[in-house]
Amino acid sequence: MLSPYVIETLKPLVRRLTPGQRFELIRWIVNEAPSTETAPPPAEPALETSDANTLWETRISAEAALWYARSDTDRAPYLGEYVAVLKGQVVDHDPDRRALAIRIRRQYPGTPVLITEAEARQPHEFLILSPRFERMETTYESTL
Amino acid sequence: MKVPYSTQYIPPAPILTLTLQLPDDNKTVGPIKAIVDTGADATLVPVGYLRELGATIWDEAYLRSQWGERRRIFTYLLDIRIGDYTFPGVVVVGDNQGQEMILGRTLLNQLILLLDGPQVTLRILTQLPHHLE
Repeated sequence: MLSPYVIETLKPLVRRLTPGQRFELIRWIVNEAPSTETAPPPAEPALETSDANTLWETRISAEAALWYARSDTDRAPYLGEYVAVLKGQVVDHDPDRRALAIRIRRQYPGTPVLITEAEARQPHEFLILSPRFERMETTYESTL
Repeated sequence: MKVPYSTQYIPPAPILTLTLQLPDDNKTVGPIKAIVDTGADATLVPVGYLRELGATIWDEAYLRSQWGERRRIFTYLLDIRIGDYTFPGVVVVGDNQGQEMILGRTLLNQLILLLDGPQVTLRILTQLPHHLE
């Protein structure tokens, strides 16, 4: 399905074409144009943006390290909740992570604030158990 | 809701088309095709989409493969829309290397899915068929 933006962009261009040219365009879209099924990921960010992201990541990691080192006594008031941590201090907490994130974005715009489970003592580990075959085109197709 | 498998994968793979949104903003990114991967704990989103949204990094974590390779990653919180369904506050992992979105069990466990391999079709069910209850 074409977006309204694409349709509005194409309309004046297609009007100038002869019926034969329109047919040729449709044939090219069907057979040869690169797939646009998925919105293409935006271009790589500029260096400045990249540096800002790296700095943000570093600060989140530093906040996390501070939180992991906290004692049971420090954590006790927040058990079962998510904590928002800035410069080693709990600035807010909530059992609802989404609600907490919305408040923190409003209260601390542009500031890296860690939001993590109060019980966290190390970074969470996600497992991805889905290896892919790297298909060797020639070999694979010749066996079909 | 019925979605054909993507034939861009060999063998064909179940996919869903979705839209990403910040919890506190109307700005969206999509449509994005995401592979349905029950072997993945987490939902992975290429960082380009996250930066386009202006999504915030909230936490760090690790991603590990079945062979033990481990890498540090960062997590975000997004609302995800799939058709008429909205899933608020889904924790997603920012993927700074891949260009493919992977829907893992952080989201899939909220759905009743029917993977109809012979018909190369995925269905999202609103309830279990009676004979399976």
